[in-house]
Amino acid sequence: MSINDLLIISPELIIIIFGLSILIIDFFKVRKSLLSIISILGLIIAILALVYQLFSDITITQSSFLNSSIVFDELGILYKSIIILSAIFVLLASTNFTKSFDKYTSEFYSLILLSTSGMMFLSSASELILLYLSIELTTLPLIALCAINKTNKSAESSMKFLILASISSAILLYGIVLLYGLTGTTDIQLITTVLTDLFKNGDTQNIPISILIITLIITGFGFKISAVPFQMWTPDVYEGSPISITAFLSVASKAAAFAALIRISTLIFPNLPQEISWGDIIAIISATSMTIGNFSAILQNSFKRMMAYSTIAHAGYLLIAIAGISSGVISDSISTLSFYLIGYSLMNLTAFLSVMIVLNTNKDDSIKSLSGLGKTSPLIAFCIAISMIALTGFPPTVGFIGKLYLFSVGFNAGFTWLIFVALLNSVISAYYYLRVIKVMYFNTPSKTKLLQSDVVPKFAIVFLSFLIILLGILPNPIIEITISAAESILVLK
Amino acid sequence: MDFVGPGILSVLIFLPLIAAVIILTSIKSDNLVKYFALIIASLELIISLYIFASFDRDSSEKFQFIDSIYNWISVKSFNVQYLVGIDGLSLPLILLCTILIFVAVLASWSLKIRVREYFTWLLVLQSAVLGVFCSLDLIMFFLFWELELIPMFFLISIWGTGRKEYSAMKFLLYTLFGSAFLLIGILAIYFSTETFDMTLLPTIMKSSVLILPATLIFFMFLIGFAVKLPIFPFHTWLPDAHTDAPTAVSVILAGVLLKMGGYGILRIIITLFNEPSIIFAYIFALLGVVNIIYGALITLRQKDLKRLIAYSSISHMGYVLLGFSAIASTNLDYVLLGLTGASMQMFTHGTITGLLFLSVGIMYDKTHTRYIPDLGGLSKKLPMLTIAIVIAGLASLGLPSTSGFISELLIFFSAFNVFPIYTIIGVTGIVLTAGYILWMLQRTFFGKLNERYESLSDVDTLQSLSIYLLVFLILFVGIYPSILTSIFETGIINILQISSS
Repeated sequence: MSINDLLIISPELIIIIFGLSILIIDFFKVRKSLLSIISILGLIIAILALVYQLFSDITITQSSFLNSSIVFDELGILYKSIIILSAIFVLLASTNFTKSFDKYTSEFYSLILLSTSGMMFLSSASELILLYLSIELTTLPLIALCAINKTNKSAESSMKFLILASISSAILLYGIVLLYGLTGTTDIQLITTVLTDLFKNGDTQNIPISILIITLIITGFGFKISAVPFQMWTPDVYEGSPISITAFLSVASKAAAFAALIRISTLIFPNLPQEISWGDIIAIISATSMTIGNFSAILQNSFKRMMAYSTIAHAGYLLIAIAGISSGVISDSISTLSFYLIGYSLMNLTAFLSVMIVLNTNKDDSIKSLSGLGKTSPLIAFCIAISMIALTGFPPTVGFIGKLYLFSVGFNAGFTWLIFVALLNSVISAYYYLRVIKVMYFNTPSKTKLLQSDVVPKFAIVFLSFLIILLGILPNPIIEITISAAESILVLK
Repeated sequence: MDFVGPGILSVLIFLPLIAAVIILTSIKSDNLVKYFALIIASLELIISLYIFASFDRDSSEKFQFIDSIYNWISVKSFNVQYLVGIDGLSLPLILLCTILIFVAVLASWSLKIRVREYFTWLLVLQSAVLGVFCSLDLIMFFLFWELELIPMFFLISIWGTGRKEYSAMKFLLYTLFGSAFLLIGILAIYFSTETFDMTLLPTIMKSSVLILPATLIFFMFLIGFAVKLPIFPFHTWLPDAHTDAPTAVSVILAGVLLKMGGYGILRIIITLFNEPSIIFAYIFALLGVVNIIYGALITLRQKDLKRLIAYSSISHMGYVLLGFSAIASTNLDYVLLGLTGASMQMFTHGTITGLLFLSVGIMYDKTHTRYIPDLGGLSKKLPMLTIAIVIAGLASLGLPSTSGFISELLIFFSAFNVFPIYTIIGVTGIVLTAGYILWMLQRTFFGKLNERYESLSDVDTLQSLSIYLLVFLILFVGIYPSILTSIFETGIINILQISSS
């Protein structure tokens, strides 16, 4: 282990150090707002470390840490930035929110930081054991965070999350074990070469085991990204958790899971026998996710449940790009996946955080309680409206460009039927997203008491909405970043 | 990101959008908003008149006033440029749009609720519609096509009447459903030719192999545009949306938005899919006749004035389709005549139906009912309005010396050459039109005056200004049609030369 290795994981280390020291600082009975400032500071320093990495001379594409279990590439940096930035926005907007569980403020910040570091490891893991461990590091703090309200609902959702996360991890682990059995290594790079050798001469003996491996890994990740038919936990957990955790869960953990899925589907899946059309499996999961997600979202009265189903539908959209990888349109698929994920993060964060700062969602998070928000709180209502319009995929927002780019790549990859399903799904989704707008602007104000909010959370949300529009008008710079990130993973291939 | 071009079209498209942002963020007083919106609408009208005057009719360039940013999104698999420009086909439609928005601003002068938001959305709508008519890149076209939905959704569901939210949602979902097909078609073209550029596509399309069958893409686009035009059986959103929208929005909806469908058929289907268009021209003719007759028959049964005009729009859009069917003629002159007639019909229907909706809106403000049996004898109290609606009605049924006559004549004349039987059936539509228009006039404006309306006063100066403007357009184009036909012709010649040479 050299200093170079430490530099590579410096952002993660910084976040872990800050996460642990917050617990210690809390012993000294400091003001709660100081804790929030410290944790945000930690995240910002981690971002600066990322920026330093990007421009420093350690940009050797294959630098290894602990026998190359961590890969250092632009894709990793991009996803780490998405994760850290969403953590920052969640914390910025949560300053008021944390008052509802005053006793556990330091735990809240600490757990969020630890989970963030897990996600960051996950997005650069190049070794299957580390990948598994970082999933655990991501999930366990989140399970505790779900229960932080200590209400019945919250505890129930945390329990559900715990059980299903364990099951899905176990399934994933089983897939990893089988892969190890087949190749004798857990290093993704080595697996790639071993698999290529193994199936070079049309070996048919190992096809059944390969099918099993693919099924188990897809199932494991299916739970993590809440794709149908592994989505059952999502609505319950989203509904029961405190809303800032829901926001974090729906954005950052999804980004990390997709980063890992990108690596596996680019480096491992294509080297398994060609007879297995895993792209079609993904495409079918994608189509059912969006259809079931969207149709179920129509029926929801709770905002969080609606957004949970919307998340399921969006997992379906994002899987189009994974299917695209299977047909060899790799660079474009990864790039469009990353771009859509950035857009999706902006839209979801705006939606959740805006609702968080006007409503006490622990008491009532029905869509009806947003009635007349356009009159009572015009600025926040406007931000929610922008996020809903973007989620539907209307111009001039990042949602429109993202969907267009995604569908275009999917079409290029030959999944015409899937794109058609996705487009019809966008029509369906318009109904429930616009219903939120309808409730806010056309209904008379409800009697629900609105929360008073500080300037900082409001500023964070307005900034996010601004980004939604800005990326809808000038998407090119970000698209270029995602393309170079996508190409960085191909260097390894 | 280099901007190239004279910039005037970009100003035309984005001025209302910028104005909308200014209204939303910095103007507080309702009155000021109205004057500001009026100034912007007038500026737009002046700019479009300037473009109309300086448009070179003999130019050898296919498109004029081209503005472009070459690499708006430059990805290998997804290269979109900002590209706007106009030809003889889009120019009159742009003029129609700025005129009707100007009228719409005047017609909304008495608005009292949520004034700021209303004018914001109205101006956003103008940007979107102008963008559709000016875009020369398929993705830009699609972007503006979708952008138009949001303002319409708000305009109908906040300021409308009746089941306004239902109608707005229906309108939105129908159009989105159509856009799904549209986007598949656009992507299919892109991955066959690797460009979204509508100025290059006609030549490239000929030499490239399509990844989907041309017939399939043709029908994808047809469904997309059929929802907008609207073509039977995708028309059911129209009566609801028109009836429940506020007056000014009905004027724009019927006057401009429906034309986006017809424009799309000409600009994309007929230009790029010439052969399938010729093969399936009988579908244009058949659906056209169904629209004409079915629309007219339903119109006869209507008792709500706005619904009546809405259904008459379906009938009149049938004429546009019938005009398109002339594409199958072997004689290029007839093709030219038919397509020019169809374009003329789009323009004239815009002014005529605009005037009809405007007059009915003004009348509704006074009588508070649109239910025909409750009305009657209004000509005694509202002479000026009656004259306006009579002129619009007569133009609608195609009376010579009004603009309606010219376009219908051109359409029947050329379509008869190819599909004589359909055309003959279509011509009976005129009789039905005469039936419902005259019957409506008789029941509403003539006969015995209902006592309730003894105290009505006629239109005020502001309203009469927009009425004069539209009446002038109807009569002027009726008497001197070549001011428009000559321009439309240059556009159609471009389209045909591109596709048939």
